[in-house]
Amino acid sequence: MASSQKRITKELAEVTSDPPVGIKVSLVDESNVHNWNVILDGPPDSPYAVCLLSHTSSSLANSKLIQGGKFKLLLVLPTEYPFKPPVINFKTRVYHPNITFDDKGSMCIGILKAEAWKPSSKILSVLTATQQLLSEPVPDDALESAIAEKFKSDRKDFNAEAKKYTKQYATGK
Amino acid sequence: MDAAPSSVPSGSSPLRTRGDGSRGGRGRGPRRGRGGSLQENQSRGDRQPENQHRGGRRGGRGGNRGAFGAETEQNNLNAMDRLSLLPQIKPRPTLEKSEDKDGEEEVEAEVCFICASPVVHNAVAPCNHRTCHICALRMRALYKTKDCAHCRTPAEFVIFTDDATKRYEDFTDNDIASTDTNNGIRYEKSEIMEDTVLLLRYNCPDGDCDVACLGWPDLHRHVRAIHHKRICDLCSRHKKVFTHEHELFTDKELDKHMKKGDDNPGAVDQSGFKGHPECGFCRKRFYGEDELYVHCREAHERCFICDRRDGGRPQYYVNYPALEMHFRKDHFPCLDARCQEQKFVVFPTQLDLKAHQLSEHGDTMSKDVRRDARVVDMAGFNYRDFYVAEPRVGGSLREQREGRGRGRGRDPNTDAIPASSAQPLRRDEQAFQRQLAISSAPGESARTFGGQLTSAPIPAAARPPPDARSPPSVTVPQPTSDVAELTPQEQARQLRHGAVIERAQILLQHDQSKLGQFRNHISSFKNNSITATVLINSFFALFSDTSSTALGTLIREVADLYEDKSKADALRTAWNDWRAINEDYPSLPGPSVSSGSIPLGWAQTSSSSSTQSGAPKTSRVLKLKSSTAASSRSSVSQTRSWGTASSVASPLNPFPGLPPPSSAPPNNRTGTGKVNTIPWAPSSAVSSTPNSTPTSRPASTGPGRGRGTDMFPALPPAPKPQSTIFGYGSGMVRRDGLGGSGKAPSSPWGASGSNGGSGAASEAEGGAEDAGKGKKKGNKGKKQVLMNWG
Repeated sequence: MASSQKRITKELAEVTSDPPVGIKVSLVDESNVHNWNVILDGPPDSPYAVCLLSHTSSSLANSKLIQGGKFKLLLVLPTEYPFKPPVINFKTRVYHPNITFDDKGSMCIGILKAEAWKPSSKILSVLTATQQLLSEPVPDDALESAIAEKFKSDRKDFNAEAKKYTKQYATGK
Repeated sequence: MDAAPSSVPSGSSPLRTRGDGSRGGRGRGPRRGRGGSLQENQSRGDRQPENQHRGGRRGGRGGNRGAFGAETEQNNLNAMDRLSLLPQIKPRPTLEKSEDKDGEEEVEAEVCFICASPVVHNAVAPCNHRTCHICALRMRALYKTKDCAHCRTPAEFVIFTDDATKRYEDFTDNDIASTDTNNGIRYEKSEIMEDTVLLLRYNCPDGDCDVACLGWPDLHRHVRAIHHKRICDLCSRHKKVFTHEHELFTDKELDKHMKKGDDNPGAVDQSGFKGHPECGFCRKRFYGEDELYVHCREAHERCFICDRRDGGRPQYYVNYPALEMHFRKDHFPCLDARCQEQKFVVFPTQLDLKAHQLSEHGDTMSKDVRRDARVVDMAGFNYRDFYVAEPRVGGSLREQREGRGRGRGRDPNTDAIPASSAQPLRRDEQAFQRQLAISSAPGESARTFGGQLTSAPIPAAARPPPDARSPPSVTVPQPTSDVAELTPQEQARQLRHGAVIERAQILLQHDQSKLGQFRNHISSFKNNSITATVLINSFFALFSDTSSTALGTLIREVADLYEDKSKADALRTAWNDWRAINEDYPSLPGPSVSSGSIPLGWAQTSSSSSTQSGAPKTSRVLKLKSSTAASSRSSVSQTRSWGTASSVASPLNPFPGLPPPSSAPPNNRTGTGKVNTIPWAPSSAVSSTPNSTPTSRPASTGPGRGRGTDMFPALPPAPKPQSTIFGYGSGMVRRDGLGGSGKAPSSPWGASGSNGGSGAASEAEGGAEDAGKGKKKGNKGKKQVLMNWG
């Protein structure tokens, strides 16, 4: 596609040359700009970041051991991009109200909804919004109602669960 | 030209000047010389515009820092064979990146934010957001949205201007040269309008071809005849790209496009398109998953029970009978005749079914049967199961049922019903089931019904589908001539000759004088005394009573008679031209055509030198193509290193098509594959559509539809007869139902769309009625009513 590739290429260049904190982007297939592999770090202030060492035994307080979970995302840009929004799926399981807790990992986020999408929105802003969503779930717009319920009613438990799954899945492997 | 790197952007080189003028020239007035050497420049090579753009950017920003490099590179490019371009381009990504960093605002001024291509004309919306005119037009003409690309503010009008800074509100009516109310565009200059209108024509996607066709059929014909390629019919109907952005395929490529898309690891021009999905039942392809989904939803059935249980991937059944089979095999349908007709009265567990039967049909059961029905058969009743089993898939249910013995399990009347303790629960369930059934039933029927309504009329109005070409080959005696060719030449010719004369005679109603004229015309054409066009015209006069289809057949046969290939071709061409002009799509270019006809209406205003135009127009078309087509290719290779020969080898843009203003129904695309099977010039056949459309139609949708209709019969206003039947020998009736329910009791009730609605109504009604008659025994009827209201 004409316009889409050009625009995507430009955005890819921007993202790779000046990568935002906690976001790593690469192409699934070097020759195809429409499919991006994204590795998103769980925001440090969220349960999606894990401290690999317990706080007490911080003798080896190595920053490498305190890190965000590594969440793999697949970002697919339609041929109509930027006139149609990208599609993002979490390849890593996430315990989150707005992300389906299955192999699909579909995400519900305002910026990507067809009726809210603006051709001027950039992939980068989509990714930052995704990061933001990890920090601040929107339980009223949930895909996983059970998780949303837990989030609303028992935040502590929710955080614990999210942490548990982050540790289990979001290892970056 | 190489000497350009002077510190002033408008250096000595004409090329340079132009490049800079178009990039850096914010507010400098006309941003580029139209029709000047820029144009040549762009049409010279596909990659040219991109080079220019890069060079220009650098020049505009930093003076000559990058200009020299760009210049030399540009020259290299010109000199080099395009194939050898790619290695050259590889190092570009770095350049591009660094530039973007240090010159962000500059870039935005000269490159469209949306498409990242150089801005040729500006489009300004009332919110004063800017895009290039191509993006604005894309949004408005193709995506049919008047929202601003930046902020989504809808705007009735945008202004297309060459002034890069002037605000929307600063434009007065005097600044506007012309207005397109259709797309909501006001043009500052008529030149901009011409450039814009150009994009909306049926331009041939071939990069070196400047033909603008009269419409989709004409374009399909053109690419077939001239370029021996095809445009994907599905794409041409659905893909939101300008006509010239569509892709041309050979037959083989088209096949691949349909099945696999351009998913070709390693290739530069892939877009992630994975082919057009096919409906497994109908063997029809659809543009995308969404279209396929809509099709399946309308034409096929889903099991709501499985859907609810499994979620995830929907499982479709080809039609209701197939779904019914599934119901019988894996679930518990109510075999009561009423419920059979109502459809979708089926339950995930036997308990649900029992509850349903007691409450719905209790009043028609005999006392004994009813009492029996209330006995809980603990042998088969696994209490656990009924809670747990539900979310599970069929297995446990089936086991359970099979354990009970098939015959008995299916017979509602002799089977036990859960004890009273379970009943309340069951009733909840049941109410839910009923609701489900009811809510899904009308949906289903309405959809089928609606689908029928909407899809059927379309073909008539729509443009000729490509498969229209095949039918004539069936009806026309042409095959005889083809066959004849196999015999010795003389004989064959005679045969064909005879056939032609015979046809002419029939068409002329055996009028000998006219037949004489006919022969004269043909021989004078043979002797070169008249041209093919004249011949066609005279035929037209002669065969004024004849349909053009028949005339076309005749002309093709006549053409076959000429041994001289050029004669035959001339004749065919002339005929095709005649048709193209007189018949198929009268709208676009003629000055006589008035507005209203989609975006193209105003082609006439702009094109005094209309469609088939002369040189200036031509170069413009090519230019516009290169501006979109080339840019994509170059963009790819520009920042990345995946140059392969493939992009060059197929000089055709990696992109597809326009939503045809006259788009045809998605259904007859089955025919696409056929286009090339027709032996004659593709052009002549196209127009025969109207009669062919119907033929293709029933084949694809007819059968399913036909059934669909009686699959969803409406319920009668008063279900009296049914209830009496049950009153007598319900057990027997049920058993009958068991055996022969495959042929769901043919409904004496008229079809209607409101299945569920009436179903519910009739139940309520039935209850009420029964009460009135004093026929209602026991409390089942009451329950039912309660449930309906609850």
